[in-house]
Amino acid sequence: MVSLSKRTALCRWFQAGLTVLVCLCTTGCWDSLEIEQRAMVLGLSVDIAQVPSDDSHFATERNTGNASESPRPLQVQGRPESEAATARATAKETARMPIRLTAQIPIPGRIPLGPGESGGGGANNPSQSVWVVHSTGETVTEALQCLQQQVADPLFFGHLRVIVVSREFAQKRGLSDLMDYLRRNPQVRRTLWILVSEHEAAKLLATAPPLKRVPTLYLISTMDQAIRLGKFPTEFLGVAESKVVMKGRDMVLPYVDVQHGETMLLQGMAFFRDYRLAGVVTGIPGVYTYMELCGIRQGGIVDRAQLPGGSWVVLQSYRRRRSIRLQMVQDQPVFDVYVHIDFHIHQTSGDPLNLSNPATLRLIERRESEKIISAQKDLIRRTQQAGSDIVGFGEFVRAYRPGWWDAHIQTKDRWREVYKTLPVHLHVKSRVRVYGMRAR
Amino acid sequence: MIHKTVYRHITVMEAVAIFIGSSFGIGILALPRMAVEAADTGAPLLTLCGLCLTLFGALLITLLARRFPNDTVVRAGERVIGKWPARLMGVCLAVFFILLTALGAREFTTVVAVAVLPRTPVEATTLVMLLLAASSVRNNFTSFAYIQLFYQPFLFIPSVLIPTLALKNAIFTNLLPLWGNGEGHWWAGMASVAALLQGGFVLGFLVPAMIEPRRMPQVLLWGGIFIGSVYLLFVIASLAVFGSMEIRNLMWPTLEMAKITMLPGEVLERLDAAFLAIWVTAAFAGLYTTYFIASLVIKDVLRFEDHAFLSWALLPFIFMAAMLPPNVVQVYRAMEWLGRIGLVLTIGYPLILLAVAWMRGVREERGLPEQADSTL
Amino acid sequence: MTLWSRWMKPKSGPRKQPLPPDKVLQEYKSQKFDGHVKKALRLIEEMLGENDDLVIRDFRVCQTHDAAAAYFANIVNRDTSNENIFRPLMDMKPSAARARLRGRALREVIVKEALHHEEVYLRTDMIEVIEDIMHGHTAVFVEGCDKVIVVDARMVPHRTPEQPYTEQVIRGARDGFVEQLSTNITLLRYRLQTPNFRIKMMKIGRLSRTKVAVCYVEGLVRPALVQEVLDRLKMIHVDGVLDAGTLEQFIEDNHWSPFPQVQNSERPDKCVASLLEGRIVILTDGTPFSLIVPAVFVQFYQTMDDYSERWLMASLVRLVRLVALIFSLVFPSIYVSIIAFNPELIPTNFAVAVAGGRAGVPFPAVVEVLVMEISMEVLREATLRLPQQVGGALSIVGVLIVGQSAVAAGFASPITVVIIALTTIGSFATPAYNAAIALRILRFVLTILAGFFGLYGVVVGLILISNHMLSLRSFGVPYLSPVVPMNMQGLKDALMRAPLWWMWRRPQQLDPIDSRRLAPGAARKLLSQNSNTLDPVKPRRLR
Repeated sequence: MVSLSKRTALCRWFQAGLTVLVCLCTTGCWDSLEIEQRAMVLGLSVDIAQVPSDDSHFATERNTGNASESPRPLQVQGRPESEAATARATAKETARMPIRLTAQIPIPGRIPLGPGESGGGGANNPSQSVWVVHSTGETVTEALQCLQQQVADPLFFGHLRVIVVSREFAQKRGLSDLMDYLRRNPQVRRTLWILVSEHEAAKLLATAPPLKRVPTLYLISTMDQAIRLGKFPTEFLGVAESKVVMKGRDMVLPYVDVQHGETMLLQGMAFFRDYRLAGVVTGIPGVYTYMELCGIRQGGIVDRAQLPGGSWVVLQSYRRRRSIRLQMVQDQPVFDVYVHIDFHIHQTSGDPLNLSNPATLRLIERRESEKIISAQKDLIRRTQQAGSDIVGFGEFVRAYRPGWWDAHIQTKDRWREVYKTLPVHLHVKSRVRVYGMRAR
Repeated sequence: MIHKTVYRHITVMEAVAIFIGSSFGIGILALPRMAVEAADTGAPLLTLCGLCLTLFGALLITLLARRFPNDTVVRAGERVIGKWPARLMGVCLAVFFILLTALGAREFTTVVAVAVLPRTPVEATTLVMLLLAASSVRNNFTSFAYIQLFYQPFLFIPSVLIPTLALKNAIFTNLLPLWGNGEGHWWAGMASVAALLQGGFVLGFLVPAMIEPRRMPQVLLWGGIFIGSVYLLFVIASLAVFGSMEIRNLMWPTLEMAKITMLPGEVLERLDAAFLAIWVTAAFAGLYTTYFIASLVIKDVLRFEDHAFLSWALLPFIFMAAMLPPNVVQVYRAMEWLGRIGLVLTIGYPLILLAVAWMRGVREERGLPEQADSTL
Repeated sequence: MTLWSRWMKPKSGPRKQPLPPDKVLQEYKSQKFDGHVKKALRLIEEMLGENDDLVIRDFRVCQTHDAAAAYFANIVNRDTSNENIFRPLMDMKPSAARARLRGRALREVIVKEALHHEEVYLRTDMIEVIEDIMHGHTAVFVEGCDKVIVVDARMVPHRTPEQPYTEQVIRGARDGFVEQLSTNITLLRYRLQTPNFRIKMMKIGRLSRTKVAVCYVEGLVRPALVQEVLDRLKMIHVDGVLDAGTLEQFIEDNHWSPFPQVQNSERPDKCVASLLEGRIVILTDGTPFSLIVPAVFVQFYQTMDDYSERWLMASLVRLVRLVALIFSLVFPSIYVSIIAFNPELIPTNFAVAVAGGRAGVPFPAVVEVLVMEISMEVLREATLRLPQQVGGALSIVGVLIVGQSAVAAGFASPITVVIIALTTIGSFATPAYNAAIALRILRFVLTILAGFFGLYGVVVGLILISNHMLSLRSFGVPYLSPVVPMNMQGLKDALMRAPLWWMWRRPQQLDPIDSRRLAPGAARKLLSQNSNTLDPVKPRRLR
């Protein structure tokens, strides 16, 4: 019995050994690549190259805060209709618009390990801890290949957190091929942010406030904090990818700009029609209105309500609820959007105002509601003109009236036509909850 | 050689574990896409229907087992439809499960190659996977049950964790309408979903080794609940997160879902590679089952005493079959066809056996012997 | 040299070739003591005469009967032999009746009336007598007596039971086994005073003739298991058994597994606890280590402290130990696969910093980790062998200096040093040395696999290991047994340590005959009884 069990045990070990041996012999460390041998691309910027003819134009520079002045970017200030018109650019046009990529790669030795200040030199200046490389190419892949030729280590996109796209690029060329590349590449994360920059994207990527060790991480923390403070909805790449292919919805992306040459300003959002930028909403109320209509619970934006008699109140929303009612009137969808917002009052214009009076509070609430409704109307009108259903009314129709949808709509283009004249009735109810430590 | 007799020893819990382990495979990675392609937002409903189809197949096996509590499916077939027809069917089953093992391994290594090990040849990873399965297939049924039971937590924890964490980004309207927009091809979709669950055929070999074969319906119930809830959870979560249109764009939606989930506290920023690594256990459990079934079927057909040496004997064939499809498209097409054929075998065959047995009135003599005549 | 000299040396007559040791006794198998002292002594001379420490002391019993005592000089306690053997025998009152005594009658008079030493054996076979002399007993031959009287007056140097080094406890008994089997049995009997406590003795080793005691509690353990243990022990035909570890390697189930399938312990309280659970304890003469069979994996991270501390603390500590165990197994391999294969998993800040830390290191992570691991093992082995006074200093200094200078020299990144340190500390937290060593070896395998395949390789390796553990059996008990196959009663003492009143059954994987630990209803009574005598709320007269 012992001999038998011994034999089988020997067999088993022989097999285990064989397994390991085969592993070792048939394989090498094909995919092993040390972390410091990867050129970790933390941020990318995509512009339309100004000098398309010069294909072999490599520009490598150490970014030292006062980056070399690039040609002045195009200022595109058009009405949404014309923007939509330019969006219908042909493939031929695309070919004439080469891409200019800028990559931000951290320099390993420059970024200290651990919380202390003891590290390599340049730890105090975040802009010196990264290496900025430029390249151009007809497509993203070609541009990246061109980039790879300048960087010895293989580029690694596992930690790619931000792609800044210039408004010009998003408008003229569209994000279709860029997003296709991002979908295909297994290294790219879906929590990546695509930011649309008003001016040159490369410049935005180089903004380096001394708050973080790596400039890109500053951009990321800007976005993360914006979400936490209720300044912006969660619209990272994965969300945008889902929305852009939905039949009854379009994507929005954050719209940013450089301010004073060194900080990033989150100034609004860009809305898209398919993969092309269809317009931008700037200013706090625009984003705020979008978040209301989408029913994002987290509030946080401060707003000032003007009261009759010259006094005013500063309100901060902290919670919202939204419900949407869809009715079919004469076989056409009609929407009622009910938004309920809770406010804190942060500041008033001063003494004559008595908040402990319920009538005053009601007045404030009514004023604020009116203001919000007008902002919402404005947003819906603009998106209707652009044919970009960012709130996703179409999704509601598809979800709750599938019979009608299947009979009349079916495609995104047809929904877009319907959306342009879609009646949306807005109902806003504001509620002031508390007004701070002051009793009146 | 001494004729081995082994006591009945598989408990109900182990049987449930075997059933679950057989059904958790690599198919789950593509499941949401398959379901959405067939039924749009009706994917959860379709998955439920597919599960019902599978459970129906399992029920047939259970009924057969109730009639022949001491025989495996193959041996019961010999008693019902005669020796040679049953052997022929046995050969078909064996070939089917060999191919299923091969394609399962290939599918998994394709995922691995695309997602984490792009430069490692598929041959190497496939061979490692098959060697792992083959070295385990040598074990007897008890160890098979133990191994399946042991890996349950590693299947369930990520299957619950990842969809739940991903639900943070869910949009409710993505799930509506429940039956999907437009015309779906529901029957084909159901077949595809049910085809993922064909490892459940192992129940047909389980019965002679179970302590209480009468409690087989319980196994079916619990197994169905667990498998169904996890399958539905994956489909619902990925549908709610991505929407039906985006899922069509994603090769392996479940893996993408792991990509957007972040462990609380940001210990790991994305879970896809970790999920895939843990999912090796699921792939192993699935492969192990189909490989095991293939060797058991051959053992029964050829009346071998022991199936151990078959594990190495089958390995070259399985490896070659796994290497046949040239690209990922062909892998999935082959899976689809094989799955359809497999349904005919794994559901149709027990159905025919039951019908014939009922008409001819063949049934096992009552009472269970303490020892089962089997080397399981 | 021997070969050369043998060849060169001319054959000088028919020199008798010395027989191999175990053949010698065979030659004298048929020899019996027949009452002739001279003849017996000649035999003894012939066999043991070459030993210079053999003493043959002639004397006379009752002044009439010639007698002789044969023993080895140093192993016999002089006081005992003087006082208890020679004095009573020589002092026997001579009388006519006694002078006529022969055979059985003579023996009875000597043993029952004169010799007042308690441990006396009677032998007829000369082989047995010789074995007894070898064992350290004194053989007394009396002319005309029908049997040889063997008196146990052995004295072997021994130490007193003290706290075992390998299994220290915070709270619990401070005594440990010693080398003498008799002392060890004493320690067990002292703790377990049931009449069902059984000890089966046997001698193993053709030359060493080591005493082995198989201890169990009848009525708890299955007789088949006892028989199996005895059978396996009987199958050992080896020249010498010097330690319990030798025995362990002969009776374990799978000789090729890295995992120990027999538990060893120096603690009598642990042995008694195992006996009470329905296990079998094997004690070996000459070693303080006892063997406990059957053993399952969970035993290797349980300690006696777990049971003496309160259950919640004990469970937490056990959980910590389990985490340390898993850490020590997988930490380096996961580190390697994250660094070299999937750096996208860790947070970006950290990834950038890690890349900075590794920037100057010339080796791939897997080589770096392996080199550091090996040097750590060397350090550990070195401190183990060093004299204690030096060892402590060396270990601390060694770790500090090696780690610091490795980083300073650009030989390893600081994070690697941290990982290795955590791993090593983790492996020390495993109470059983032999289980820790198994995991330490497997850690290397996993690290190499990680170097080839990344996380995929690690998981494949872990699956291989767990499949092996799942197919492993110790005396038929599945190795991972309270967990798989699942057993709720066993699980109460596997990952956690349930309250003692809740663990009312013995571990079911051992299939004990009497499975109740706690008397029926005892737990309920325990929980309901709560009289609160000194409760201040109670009226004083009721207190």
